Amino acid sequence: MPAKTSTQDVWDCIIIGGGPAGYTAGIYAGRAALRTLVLAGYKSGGQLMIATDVEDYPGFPQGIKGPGLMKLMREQVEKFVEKVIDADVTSVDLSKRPFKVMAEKKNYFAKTIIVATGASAKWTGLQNEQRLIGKGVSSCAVCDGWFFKGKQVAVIGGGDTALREALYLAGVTGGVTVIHRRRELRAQEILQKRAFADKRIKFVWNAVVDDVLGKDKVEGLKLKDVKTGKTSEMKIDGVFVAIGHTPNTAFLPKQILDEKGYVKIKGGIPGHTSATIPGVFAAGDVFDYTYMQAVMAAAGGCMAAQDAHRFLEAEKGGD
Amino acid sequence: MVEVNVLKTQMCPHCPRAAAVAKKVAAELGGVQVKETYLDTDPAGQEIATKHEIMSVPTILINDRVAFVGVPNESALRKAIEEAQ
Repeated sequence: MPAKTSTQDVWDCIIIGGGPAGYTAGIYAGRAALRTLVLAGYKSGGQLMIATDVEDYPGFPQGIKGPGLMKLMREQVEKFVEKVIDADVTSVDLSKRPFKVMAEKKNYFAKTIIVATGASAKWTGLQNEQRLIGKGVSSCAVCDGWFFKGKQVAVIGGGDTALREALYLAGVTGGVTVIHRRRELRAQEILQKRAFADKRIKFVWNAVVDDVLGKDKVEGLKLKDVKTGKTSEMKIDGVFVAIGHTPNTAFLPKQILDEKGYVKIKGGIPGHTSATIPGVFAAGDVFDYTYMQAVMAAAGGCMAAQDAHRFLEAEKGGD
Repeated sequence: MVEVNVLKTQMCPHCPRAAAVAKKVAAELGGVQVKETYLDTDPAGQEIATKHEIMSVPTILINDRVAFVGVPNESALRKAIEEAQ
């Protein structure tokens, strides 16, 4: 039965986030008969929405497009939770219970909260990079690759995302240069093999971007060799930044975050996903900066929902 | 009548969300016409992309001026439309 007070409607569980972690948490929380609201955010679907082919999520031997996978997860979560709303959470009040969550000027109340807001692409922070976002600087190859048909583009980074972007862009642009600060890539072997075999992809090693050049649009990059300190310029029409991620936790109180801004979790079993405030849990890339895989996020969502359920049961038992 | 034009491409995963936000805000405010234009497949879209030098989607034009690059949040879009009204 819905728990209601005279002045406010209190959910058993509010899940903040609409990626694999949030949707899986919803599936498990809903099936555990918790009255659940998912606040999926405007970027519902999470980082998989900009993934081209997902080949490492079990159950899809032929691979699946990221947005296709998220559509299926969305359909599944909608079967089990009472409501999914595409609204961004702007702030939370975790100082007293029920917890208060504010999204698009509306307040929602919950006995437990699962934070599954994930992480977003990190920018280099260079002033000219920020100025030229949408003018040749991008973090989404599948969104913006088309604008660089026949043109030269650069991808900054050496992880999975960087190589996936480079491989996609190789097919739609006139050529790709991957710029990486080390001599080795961090990306999965299979992606490295494909990228090295693709003649349209070149590599610049041991280099960082010192500046993005161009007045009204990107015209080039100033590179700095990290070994020698020497700088050079390269002509380029577009630059795709894939240097890592930053957690989406700006709306959370600092006390539950670590020094990098990720949610601190208890770890261990059970209660693995418990944050430092009882009744608050986390799942996915919002705490995980090691594995950062959709399947880990989904697993984290499952754990967080079970942890929330166990927490509520224990509270009931203690009444 | 304020015209909101959501510029998108066929492959862009965030564009449908941008259009949904625009339609929701337009319905709430009234006096707003929402258009959606594919820049990659619609010849008129290609003209718009050239005219405004668009290099990223979704981009939202309000009365033919670039107002947002990326999916705007509802309140920011509402404010921008109200200012144009």
